[in-house]
Amino acid sequence: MNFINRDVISISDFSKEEILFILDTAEKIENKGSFGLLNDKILAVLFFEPSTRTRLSFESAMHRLGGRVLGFSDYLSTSTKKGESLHDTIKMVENYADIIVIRHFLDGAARLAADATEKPIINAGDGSNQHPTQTLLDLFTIRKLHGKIDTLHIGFVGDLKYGRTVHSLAAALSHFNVQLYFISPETLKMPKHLLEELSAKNIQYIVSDKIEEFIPKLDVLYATRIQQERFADRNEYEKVKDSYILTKKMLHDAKPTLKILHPLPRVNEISRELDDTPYAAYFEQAKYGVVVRKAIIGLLAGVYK
Amino acid sequence: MNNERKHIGFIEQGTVIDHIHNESIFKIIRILKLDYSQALVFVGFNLDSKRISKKGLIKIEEIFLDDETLSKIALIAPDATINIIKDSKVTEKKKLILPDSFQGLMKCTNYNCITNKENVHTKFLVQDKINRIFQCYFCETKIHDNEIEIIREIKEKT
Ligand SMILES: [Zn+2]
Repeated sequence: MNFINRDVISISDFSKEEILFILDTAEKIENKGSFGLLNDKILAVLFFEPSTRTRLSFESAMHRLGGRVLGFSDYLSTSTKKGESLHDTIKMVENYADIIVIRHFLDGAARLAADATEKPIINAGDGSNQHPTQTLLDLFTIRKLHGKIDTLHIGFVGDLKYGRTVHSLAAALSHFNVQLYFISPETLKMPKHLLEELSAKNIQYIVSDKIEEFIPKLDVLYATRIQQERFADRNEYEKVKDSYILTKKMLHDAKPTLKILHPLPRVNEISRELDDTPYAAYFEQAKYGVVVRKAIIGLLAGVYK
Repeated sequence: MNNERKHIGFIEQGTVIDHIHNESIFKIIRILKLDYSQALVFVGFNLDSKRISKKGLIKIEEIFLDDETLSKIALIAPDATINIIKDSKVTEKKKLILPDSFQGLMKCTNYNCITNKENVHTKFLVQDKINRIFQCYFCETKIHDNEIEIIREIKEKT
């Protein structure tokens, strides 16, 4: 499978085989030394919107491959403020780097960047649209923790309406034989068109606003943050904000193998008392972000095959 | 005599776009830039029709539309029919077929889409030709038939 110079813009650009190949590559290199592999390569990391976690994860991945990193993490300090178009910014940066990672506050920015250059572009989040490396690391984490993806019961809880990570992960999981549960307040339900796409691929799912009754069935619970700004009515927010906080008590009937994931940062949706339990997998998930991004960068650069 | 024969002029060479719903007539005038054209143009509203209750029609003398233009008409007036006129006779009837993708013709409905913020052409992939569902190439927003908003001025390609 050839990934050299490919763009990584949207999870929907990748077939099931390609997704598995990326996961397999990450698995293969996980405990292998990689220093110096990319010592003549430069990764540009262009963050038009701050996201410290994602940026550090990409930079760590590139450093571990022995490559160099340049870029910016503050939109205010770039010339875009002075009116330079994204197209022109990319045309400039392509002279300085071999692979370009972009995070942008506008939907579609990564695709535009990819069209502006022959150099491979990795989308590290474009507005509320896509964040494919997050989806790949989520899949990697699930497979790593359970040894498989097929036949798992996977629940999503929190803001399922605006949650980009949830939408992409659900779409990627539709390549597999899984049972999905979408648990959220009425106002933050999974968008109808995404549910229709799951139905079209014969994925079984349940939509509910109650979490307790589904806990015993789950192998994975993917939690996301409920943000106050998503609510027009403050009372509505107050009513639902604490209803999905995961606690030890709530997990009383959970399978011992249940794993809780979260794209981080969390606020209060997962009680800290769970951090030391075997359910907590969110920090491990963040760790796997580096190896998955190493795999992706290495595949695009052609050092992993 | 039906009201079309009575009121609309004849052309010797050119194109007749027939069976247009009233609300699509001005859209077609815009995308064909007929308001800037030197050609002889007849436009009719509310003409008698067997196929649709009241039809609109545009006749353009001396102008023959290319496939790209026809696919634009397919986008905004899928029921329209195209007749090619030579020596005052219909010599060819063309079918309107939606293209697989098109550029710079309509707006993306997503306010936060980069095409609404930067000076770039919009581009759409036709996802479902029957139900007429389009997907923004950039932000992946799905746009349904009833949400189509045509861009009047087609930006010059940079
Ligand atoms: Zn768009």
